[in-house]
This record gives sequence, C-alpha cells and structure tokens, in this order.
Amino acid sequence: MKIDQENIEEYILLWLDGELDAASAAEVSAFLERNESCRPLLEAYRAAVLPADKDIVYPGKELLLREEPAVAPFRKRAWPLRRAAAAAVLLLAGGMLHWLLTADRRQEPSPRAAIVLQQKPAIQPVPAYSRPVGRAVATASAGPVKHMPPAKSHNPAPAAAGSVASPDPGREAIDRIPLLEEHIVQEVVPPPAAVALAGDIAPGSSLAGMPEEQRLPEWLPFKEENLQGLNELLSQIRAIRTEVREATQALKGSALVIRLGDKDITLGNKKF
Amino acid sequence: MNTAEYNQCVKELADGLYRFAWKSIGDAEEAKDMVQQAFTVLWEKKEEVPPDKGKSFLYTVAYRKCMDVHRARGRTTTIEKIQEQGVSEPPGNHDLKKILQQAIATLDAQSRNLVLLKDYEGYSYEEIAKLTRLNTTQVKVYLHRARKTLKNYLVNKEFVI
Repeated sequence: MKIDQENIEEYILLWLDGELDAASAAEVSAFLERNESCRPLLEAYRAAVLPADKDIVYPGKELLLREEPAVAPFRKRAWPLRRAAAAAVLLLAGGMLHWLLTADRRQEPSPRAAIVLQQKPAIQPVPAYSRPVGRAVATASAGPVKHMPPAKSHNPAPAAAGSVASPDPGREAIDRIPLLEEHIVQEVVPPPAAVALAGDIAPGSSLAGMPEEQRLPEWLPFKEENLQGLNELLSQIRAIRTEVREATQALKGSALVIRLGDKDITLGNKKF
Repeated sequence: MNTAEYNQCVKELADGLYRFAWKSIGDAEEAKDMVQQAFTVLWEKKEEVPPDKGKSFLYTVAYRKCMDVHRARGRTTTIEKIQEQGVSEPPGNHDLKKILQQAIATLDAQSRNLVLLKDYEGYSYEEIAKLTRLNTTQVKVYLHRARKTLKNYLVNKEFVI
C-alpha cells in the first residue's frame, strides 16, 4: 500500500469508516503526521460524520411488546425423575392395598368349612310347604305324597341301597339322604348359608368364632372392629355363592333312587 | 426467535430503527408507522429469524420501506423542500447537528440511507451490502460520494468546523 497526496482522501474515508486494518490505519496516521497540509481534509471529513442522536426515542415502545407465555414452575429435566418416582409410589401403594384386601381371602376357611362352623346339618328335612328346589323335588312335590309300601328289604342299611359311592359331593349328598322306611320322597335341602340369609342365622354369627389366625395382624393400620362388618358381609356373600354353586352341581348329578320291590330305580342319573 | 427475544429486540432496537427511519424519510409519524410495520413483520416471521439476526432483519425491512416511500413520494420534491429550508434558515456555528441534518437531506435516498446505516448503526461495508442488496464496491462508492457531498456542503456554506 502506497499512500500519497493523490489517494490520501480515499484512505482518510476508509480510515474514518473503520474499514482499514491496524497496520493500514497506522500507516495513514503516520502519513498525516508527516503532511500537515492534509489535516484540514481529515477534519472536514470528521465533521461530516453524523453523530448518534440519542435524543430521538421511539414513543410507543411498550405497544410493540408482546406478552410472553407463562414460565413453567418446574424445570423440564426434573419432570421425568419426578414422574418415575410418583409412578413407583403408586405401584407400591396399589400392590400393598391389593395384598391387604386379599389377605383375608387367602386365610379364611372354605365356605364348606364355614358351614361346619355353623354346626348346622348339611341336609335337613324341609316341610312340604317349603319352596321346591330342583327338578326331582319339583316332580316329587307336585302331587300328593306317595307312601311306598314297606319294603321287604334284603338290604342291610338304607345307605347301602343307594347307588355306588362316588367322590362327587353331589352324589355324596344324595347318598346321605335316608331312604326312609316310610318311603317318603325327600326334598333337597337348601344350603345353610341361604337359610342364614333368610334370617335363621343372625348376620355375622358364622364369623363370631373366626379363628385367631384369620384376624388381622396387629401392625396393620386397621382396626379389627372397623373391618368386622365388612368381613362378615364378604364371608356371607362368598358362602352363599359357593353353596349355590355346589347345590347346582349336586342337582345336576343328583339321583333319586326309588325302590320297587327288589328293584332300584334311579332318577336323574345317566345310569337310568 | 421466541417472544422474549422478540421483546428484547423491541427494547434494544426500536429507538435506533426509529431514528434511521425518521432521518431517512424526514417524517416522524411516518417513521413511527414504519417501525411498527417492521416489528410486525418480525413478529410474524420470528420463527424463521434467529435471535442474532433480528437487528439486520429489522433494518433490512426498514431500509426497503424507506426506499418505497422515497419512490412513492418523489425524491426531488422532498430534497428541494429541505434544501430550501436550509437556505432560508442559515444555521449558526453552534448548531452543527442541525447543519448536518440539512446536509444529509441534500443526498439522494440511497446515499442517505447508506450514511445513516454507517454512522448511526456502525455497519461495515459488507453488512450494508447485505442489507441493501448492493455489492461492497457499490456501497464504498456511494458512501465516499456521499461523504464528499456532505463535506463540500459544509465547506461551501463556510461553516466553521
């Protein structure tokens, strides 16, 4: 770069506009130091540079501003951890609640055992005016009671006159029906739980003698008294459900044995 | 650019943009409307404009609107009007700022805008070239020509510098 009287004006303009690098700016400055005749030109161009007019301000600046969206109270990175912790707590609480609610179901005796606790006979004679149950009973009670003539039985015991012993509970129930000497056709007795529901047994009485192991542990935050009513209701419902199921099964597999002389006729059985 | 960055642009750039528009077109109310329009455009395109490009975006919009105004109203009329005002009211030596405003009014719209961008905002030749869609050489030529005109105006009027 060669600076002379011919091109100094160009370099002054570039210098004032800040377009020269440091070395070139120093060279221009040195040239002007050596040539005082060029200084008025430099001052004239300096005067032609507009100063920043800070007095002029935009009057309606606030009208240009836009409303910023509300800032979330939590940081975004904190959310996944918090969500995971909350989900873990909920799962744990749900699991504990389920375990507590099903604890009595795991420990309580079967409905059949509850029946035994009631110390009621599994099968009771039912008055003739009682509601008939099942097909065989309906058939037997529809008409007048028939008295069969006393059998000159060779059979040693009424039970032996029944059909062959079967592991089926329904079959056992039928087997326990005594073939009375009066040869009265008996009805199948409704289950004790149903009798209890009908009012023969006070609500909760079947659970009064609940074994100690069925009671709630001491460390649980529930009181036995608070849950007693609920447990009694649940037990009764379960007992009724089970008895109805068993009665249905017994009726499906039931058989009525009628002895005619030396011949046994079995009704309601596939063997008939 | 989000809303907060847009508002930051308003706070930092509205005054400078208003000065530029006012000195370019010579009308405060028109300059005010122009600034409002420029920020409206920025708001509408804020998703496309990076935060660090907000200033250049605003000045590009303002520059083009100024040029539109000059083309619409007719450049010579305004300049002659301002020149007449300057001649009829010779400024005193103490009011150099006013003298310069009269001198800048003698420039054509293109040169005036380049001087305003250079002196008010300190843009480099290259940055001005990007804003005005000129090349760097054109910016340099226009600016140097404008400087000589301003200098001659001041010297010819025998203002003490």
